[in-house]
Amino acid sequence: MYIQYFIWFKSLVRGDLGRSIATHSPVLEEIFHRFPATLELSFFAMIFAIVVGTMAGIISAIRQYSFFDYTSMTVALFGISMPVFWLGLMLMFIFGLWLNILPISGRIDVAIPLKNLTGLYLLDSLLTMNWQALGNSLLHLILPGVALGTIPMAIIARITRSSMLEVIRQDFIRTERAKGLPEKKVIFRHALKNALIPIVTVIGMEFGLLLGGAILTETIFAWPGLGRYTVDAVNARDYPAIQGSVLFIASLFVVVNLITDVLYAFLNPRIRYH
Amino acid sequence: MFRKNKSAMAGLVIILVMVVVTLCAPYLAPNNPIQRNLSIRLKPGSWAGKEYAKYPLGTDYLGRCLLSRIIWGTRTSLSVGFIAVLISTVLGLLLGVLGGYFGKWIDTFLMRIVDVLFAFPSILLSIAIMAALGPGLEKAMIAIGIVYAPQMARVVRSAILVIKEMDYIEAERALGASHFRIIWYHILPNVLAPVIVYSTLSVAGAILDAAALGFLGLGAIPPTPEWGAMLSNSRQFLMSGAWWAATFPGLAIVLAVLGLNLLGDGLRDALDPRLRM
Repeated sequence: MYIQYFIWFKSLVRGDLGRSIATHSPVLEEIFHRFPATLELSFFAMIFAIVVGTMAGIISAIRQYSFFDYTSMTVALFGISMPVFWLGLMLMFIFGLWLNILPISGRIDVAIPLKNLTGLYLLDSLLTMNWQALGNSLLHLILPGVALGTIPMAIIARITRSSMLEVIRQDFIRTERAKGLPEKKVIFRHALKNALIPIVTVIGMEFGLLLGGAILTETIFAWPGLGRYTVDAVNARDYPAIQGSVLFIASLFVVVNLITDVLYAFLNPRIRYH
Repeated sequence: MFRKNKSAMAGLVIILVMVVVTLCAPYLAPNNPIQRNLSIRLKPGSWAGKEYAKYPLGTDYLGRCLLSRIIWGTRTSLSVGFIAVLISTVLGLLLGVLGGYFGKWIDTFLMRIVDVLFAFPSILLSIAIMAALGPGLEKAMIAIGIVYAPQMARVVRSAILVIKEMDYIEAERALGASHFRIIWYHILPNVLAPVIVYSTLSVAGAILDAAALGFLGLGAIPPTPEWGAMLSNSRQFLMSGAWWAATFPGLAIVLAVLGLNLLGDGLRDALDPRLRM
């Protein structure tokens, strides 16, 4: 068995992940083919989570114990307790079927032509100035993106709130206020900058959650990405494909963690690895 | 202090109710959870009128009583959650105590293993383990137990690193106490607080992950009632308007996880304020 592992490892170093049992095409090729879809979805979800999460957290911290604070923290509490696949199904039902305003599966309508350059549909349609495709793929992104982004958003909102509350109470903020700086400047320039470290940590950690969540979200919304590929591979007992995609996602996660660590040192020169 | 914390008490009440439901499932469920009746498949519940009152939450795609399945599913989900966390606690304590107490190369070695496990997003690792073990509830417990162990190991280890340096441990050692005695009587009782807090929060995560595995068809083997699998079976009928079959099992998951999160947060504030996020 260890010889088998050695052989597998040897071809891995050469960039060969073997061939899929189901489709007989090289696993690495299939992964690269599907990766842009996952990248686009996670990117959209993460932007949604970061923007909404930090804003909600900051406003909650400034107006602690206000109506807004209570509502957003209740929403956040439900957000961290919700299974992503259930949220996805509910969004699908409400916006896709009941209100019938958003598409619920796939990345783009089949009827719309789009030249494939990078595999990122939004970028492709921008580059080719295909506005119809841009609008359509954006519409397709909304439901899965929001479903995937909600849990990280809830966690980011909670951490931003508590981190901001801690910073706001410190002396230098009082000094800034006493200096007569406008409140906006105090909050965004001084307080947020100091509250950023735990927020960045959490955002880095959430990326793993996001990749995991993508597996489920892609399954629900028929999104042709890496997560769906993994699930299909598991169901088909396609072992080379399972190994390849798990390895790929894990490496991605490690790279993101590394970036987070580097960002720390950048944000706070006091933190350095020895 | 704990009793004054309203949200923690709410969490405790939710969990206690769920435990009661788990224990009394045979008496509480109005119908047999696995009996099929295709002539009444996907019928709405009591909100649709009196004639539907026999199945208060409606029926699923095989005509089984949804409420009864959710009640029995509480038993499945809670036991998977608790047993998985028990496994991870035992593994985590073992790794954490060995690494934290003995230090040196043992610590380095064990922490590298932990680092490797940390390189995988949790659900991905459990899917990978399940792919190797095959489907089944017991295997889901093992997979999730392994996935949650590294975090526990780190929590235990960091607590021990602090305790180990304290004077009373030094005194104990000077008295000639064995390693086992020091660990069992003097160190373990003191790492209990973070372990309890972290386990409670882990059960919430474990229930979510177990539901996700069930949703992907890797957890319970049918016809065992399991919330995640119930959701996944009802998925395709959602679009034909049978919203109840997917909504209620999901609500049950939310309620269980919410209760555990509230309880865990409350326990953390009461037992170990330093862990507050």
